[in-house]
Amino acid sequence: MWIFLQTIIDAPPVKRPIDEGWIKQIADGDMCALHQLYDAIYTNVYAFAYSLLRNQQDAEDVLQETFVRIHAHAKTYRPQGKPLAWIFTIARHLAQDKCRERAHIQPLEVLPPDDTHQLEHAEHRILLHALLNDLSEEDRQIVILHTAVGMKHREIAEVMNLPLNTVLSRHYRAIKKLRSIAEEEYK
Amino acid sequence: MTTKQCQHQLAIALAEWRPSTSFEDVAHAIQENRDIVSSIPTFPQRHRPVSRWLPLVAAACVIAIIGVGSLLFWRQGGSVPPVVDHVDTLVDIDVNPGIEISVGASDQVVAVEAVNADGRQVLEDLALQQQPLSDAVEVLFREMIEQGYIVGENNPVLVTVENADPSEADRIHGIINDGVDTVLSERNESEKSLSISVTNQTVEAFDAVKQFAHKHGISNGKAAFILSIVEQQPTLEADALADYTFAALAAIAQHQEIPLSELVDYDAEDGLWDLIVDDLVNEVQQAEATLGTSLLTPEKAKHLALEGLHNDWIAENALFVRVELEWKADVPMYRVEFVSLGYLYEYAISAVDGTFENPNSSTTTTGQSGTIRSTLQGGGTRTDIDTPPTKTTTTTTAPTAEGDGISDEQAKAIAFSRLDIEEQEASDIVVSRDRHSRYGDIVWVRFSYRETVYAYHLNKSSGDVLRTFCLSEDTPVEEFNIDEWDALEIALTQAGVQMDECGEQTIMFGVDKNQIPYIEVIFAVRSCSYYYRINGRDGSIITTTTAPLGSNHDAPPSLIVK
Repeated sequence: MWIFLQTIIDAPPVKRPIDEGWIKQIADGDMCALHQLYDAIYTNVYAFAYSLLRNQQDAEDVLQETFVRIHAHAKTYRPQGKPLAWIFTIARHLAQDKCRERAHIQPLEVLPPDDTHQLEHAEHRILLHALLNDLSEEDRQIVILHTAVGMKHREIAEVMNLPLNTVLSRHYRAIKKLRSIAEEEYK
Repeated sequence: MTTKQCQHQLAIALAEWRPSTSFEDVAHAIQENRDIVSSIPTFPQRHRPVSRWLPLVAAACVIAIIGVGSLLFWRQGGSVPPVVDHVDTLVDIDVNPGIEISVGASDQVVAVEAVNADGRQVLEDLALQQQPLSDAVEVLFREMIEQGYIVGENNPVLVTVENADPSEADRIHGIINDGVDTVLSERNESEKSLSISVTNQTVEAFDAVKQFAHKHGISNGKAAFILSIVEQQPTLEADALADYTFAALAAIAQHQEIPLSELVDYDAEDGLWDLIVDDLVNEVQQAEATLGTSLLTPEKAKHLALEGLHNDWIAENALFVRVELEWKADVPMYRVEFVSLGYLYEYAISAVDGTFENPNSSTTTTGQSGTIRSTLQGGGTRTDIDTPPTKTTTTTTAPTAEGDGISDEQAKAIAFSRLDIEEQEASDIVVSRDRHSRYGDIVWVRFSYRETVYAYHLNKSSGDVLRTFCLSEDTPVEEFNIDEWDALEIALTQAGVQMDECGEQTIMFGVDKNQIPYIEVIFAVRSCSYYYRINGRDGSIITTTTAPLGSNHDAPPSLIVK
C-alpha cells in the first residue's frame, strides 16, 4: 500500500517470494520452513553467487553455506521487513570470502553447456549469457537482485552499500544494454 | 522488446537456471554443522550481585548485567562474520549507541555488532575484530566521545556481561571498567567535566529478556532493564519503553518513584539519581556561597523549562533526563533536558534570574546520528530523538479523535476538501492505514477524479496532510523504474534536508514531450520551497528550482493541477 505506483498499475506488484515468519520458524528449529525458504529463493541465491564468482562449483558452495548460515543464525534475525536484504547480505559476504579464498582472479567462465541446456528458450539463454558476460560485476548484482529477487532499489543500495542514485542509474543502463544485446541477437 | 519484457524474460531465465545443489545437500551440511552448534553452552540462570563505583567526577554507580552462557552471536544490520568462531562472552554496551561485542578465547573480539543506528554510526570506521577486548573497549569509548555521544558529566552507560562462569564475568567486567577508566583519565586531563556513570545490575538472561530484545532490536541488557522497570510499575508499557535511551529509562524509573536499588544491586547505599540530585544540591549551595546570593532551585528551573514551552500536552508528557548546574561566563546556568513525545528538549537557564540562554547558530542543524535539532521560540532546542516511542506521535497537536485517531470518514472529508469536491464526484475511493518505522502512523486516502488518481497521506492523529500524490490515468506507469519514495529520497538528499524538516510534500507523475517519464517532488523547508523533476527511469535529476516561499516561483506552471 505504500507504493503508490503499484496500487495503480494493472499488473500485480512485484511478488515477495518469502514470508518473514519463516525465519522465526527456522529459528525455532522448523526444517520445513527452511525447505520452503530454500525452494523460494535458491535459484536467486545461486544466480547471485554465480554473478559474483563466475564459477559453478563455488556458486553452489555459497548457495549451500548461505542456507547453513541462515539456519544457524535465524535466531539473531531482527524482523524489519527486509529478510531478502539479510539473506543476500549473507550470500554476498560468503561470495566475497570465497573470492579471497581463491587468492587469484578466476578466469572468466562461460556458462558450461550442461548448465544452460535446461533453459528451453534461446532468448533466455541469450539474456543470461549477456547478463553474465557483458555486464560489470556490480551491474549483474543489481539486475539480479531487482529483476529476479524483487528487491527494491533502496534495499539493493543498502545491501551493496551504494548510493540510491547509483543503483538506479546502473540498473537502467544495464537493462538497456541487455535489451540491446538481445535485440541484436534476435535479428 | 520493452524494458519490462526484458526484465520479465530475464527473471524467467534466472528462475529456470537451477543449480545441482538440492535442499537435501543443505540439510546434510546442517547436520554436519550441528556438532559445532551443539557445543555452544546454553544459558544457565544465576543471580549474582555485582557492583563497584568508578572513580568518576560525578559519582555514579555501575550496572553490569551478569547473565550466563555463551553463544555464537552476530546481529543483522552489521557485517557477517567471516568465520564462525566460538564466543565465550557477550558484552552489551548501551549509551545511546547500542553495541554488542562477542568475545572469544584469550579475550579476543570475535564480532562487534551495532544494535541501533547510533551504534552503526560509531562502528562505521572501526575494525575491532580480533583485537583484545581491552583495546576494543577503549577504542569504542574514545569514538563515542569523539562523536559527541558522551559529553559533559553523568553520562549513564549500561554494561552487560554474559558468561556462564561468574568469576569470568567479573574479570570481563573489570576489563571494561579499566578501559573506561583509561579513556576517562586521558580525556580528563584536557576536559575535566567529562565523566561516565556505569551502573551495576544483576539480572538473569532468561528467554523472555532475549525475546523482548530480539523483538525490539535492542540489547539484552537494555531489555532486562526495561522489564525490571515494568515489573516494578506494571502500568508502564514495556513495548513503548523500548525506544527510549538508557538515560531516559533511568529518568522514567525515577519519575515513577521506582528506586533504582529495586532494579539493580548496589553495594552503595544510594542510587544513581539520588547521587546526582545530591551532587546538584551541593553544587547549588557552593555556587550560592561563591556569589553571595540565593539561586533558583533545580525544581524551579525544571518548571521554567516546561512553562517556556507553552504547550501543556508536551509538559504533561515530559520526563526529565538531566538537570545540571554549569558555569558560563561566571554565571551559573541550569542545563535542563527532558524527553517528551519523541523529542529531546534542552534548555540553558540562568540560575540567577531564570532567563533562557538563546541557542546560537542557525535555526535548524543536524545533530549526531542525523537527528534534527530545532531552536525553540524563547530559548531551548528540540531534537528529534532517533527512536521515539511508538505509542506517541511527533505532532504537538492533540489527537482529534480517541482510540485509533481520525476515522475513515474524517480522512475522506479532509482529502476531498483539498480539491474542494464532494465524495460523489470521486470514484475508486480507498482508505487504508499503514504503520511505518520512518513515516509513523498514516491514513491513506486514494481516489480518482477527472481522469487523475490522487492519494493523500494523513497524520493518523491530527489529520494533517503529510503528502499528496497525483498521477494522470494515461501516464504509462510501466515506464517508471523508480517509485515515489525513491524520488522523494533523491530530492531530499539533493536538498540536504531530512524528511522531518520539510512540510507537506507533493509528488506528481508525468511524461514529457520526449516521452521520458518523470516524477516531480515539491516541498518547503522553513522559508524556502524546493522543486525537483526526476527522471522516472534512472533517478537522475532533470530540473530543480529553489525559491523563497511567497515568491512567484513556488512551483513551476506545469505543477498546477487541473
